[in-house]
Amino acid sequence: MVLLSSRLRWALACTIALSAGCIGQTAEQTEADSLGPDTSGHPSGPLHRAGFPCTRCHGEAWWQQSPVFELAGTIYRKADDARGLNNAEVIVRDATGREVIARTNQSGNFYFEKGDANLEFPLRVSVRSGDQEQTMRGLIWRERSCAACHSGDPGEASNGRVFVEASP
Amino acid sequence: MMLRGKSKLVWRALAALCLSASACQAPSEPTQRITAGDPELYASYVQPYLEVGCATLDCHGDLGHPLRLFSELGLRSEAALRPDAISEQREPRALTEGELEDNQLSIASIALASRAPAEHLALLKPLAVAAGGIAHEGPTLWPSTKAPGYQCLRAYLLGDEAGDAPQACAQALDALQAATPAAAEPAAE
Repeated sequence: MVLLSSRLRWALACTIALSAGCIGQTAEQTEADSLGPDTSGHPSGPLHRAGFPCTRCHGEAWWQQSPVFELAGTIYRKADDARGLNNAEVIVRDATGREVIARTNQSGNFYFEKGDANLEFPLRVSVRSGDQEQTMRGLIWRERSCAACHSGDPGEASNGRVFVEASP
Repeated sequence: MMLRGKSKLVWRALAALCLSASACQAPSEPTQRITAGDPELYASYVQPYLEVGCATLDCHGDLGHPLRLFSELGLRSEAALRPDAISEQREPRALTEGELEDNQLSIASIALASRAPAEHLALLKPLAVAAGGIAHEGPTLWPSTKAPGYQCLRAYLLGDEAGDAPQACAQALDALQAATPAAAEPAAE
């Protein structure tokens, strides 16, 4: 009896040790961890993590109690700006033909919280600030974070930041 | 004695190897050949449709998704092909011959059976399940096999006799451009 219980204890210890790497580490958490630290200097809230793919943490699958976004991102004045653009308009037209507009905050962030717009994909997006305006040439079919496809500088898998003023 | 024991062991190992290798022999079915369609037809008519409907960075332009497709606005084969941000004022660089060929091969590789060319994932995935399609992680693009997009891909994959690919692809592209119809006025701010 003592022997059996000792084996059982060993088996339990091994199981726990082997699964320790999996406990508390959901796919969403792993993905969020991969974003690295927030260097914005802002506490969690509408101004934080400009330029990051918002719905990695503010998506349906996220494990924390944070607002869920239908669509969110960061807008810049120029493609190579490091800081987001305040008070830009993000005009989104969805598959039903409905048009909704969000305005960026001082970090350049905008978002539609779940239930705000009930967007139906595909989406077509324009951004506007003053007399400057850019309309995305392609459609958005499923992605809810701008930065998933518009991250950093242009490259093979990124179209660069979302901006309103084209460089000459 | 020791040597004989070793030799026995070697023979047994060889026999086991032969037995296990027999399971790996080629099936009796002849190798199926898949062919990519006409490259000019693809470049001129099919790719522009796929560019808008399938190859975006959030769908098949994402390396994490099955069926990788390059496109002017989506995934490029190398960063040098997108040196600057694309804007209303700056055109993207045209796809290279290599990218176009890779796309054709990507599509060819998801054929299910060469003897039944319509049994092709490129035709079945975007098609509504109710119309004979199969589940697709992305959107249902074609409600029925009459959809121009289906006809476009079918004509490309099956050849001229299957339909007028240029006309079907042009209609399909028009339909996509109208996927977000203009609204009467902004609904909310």
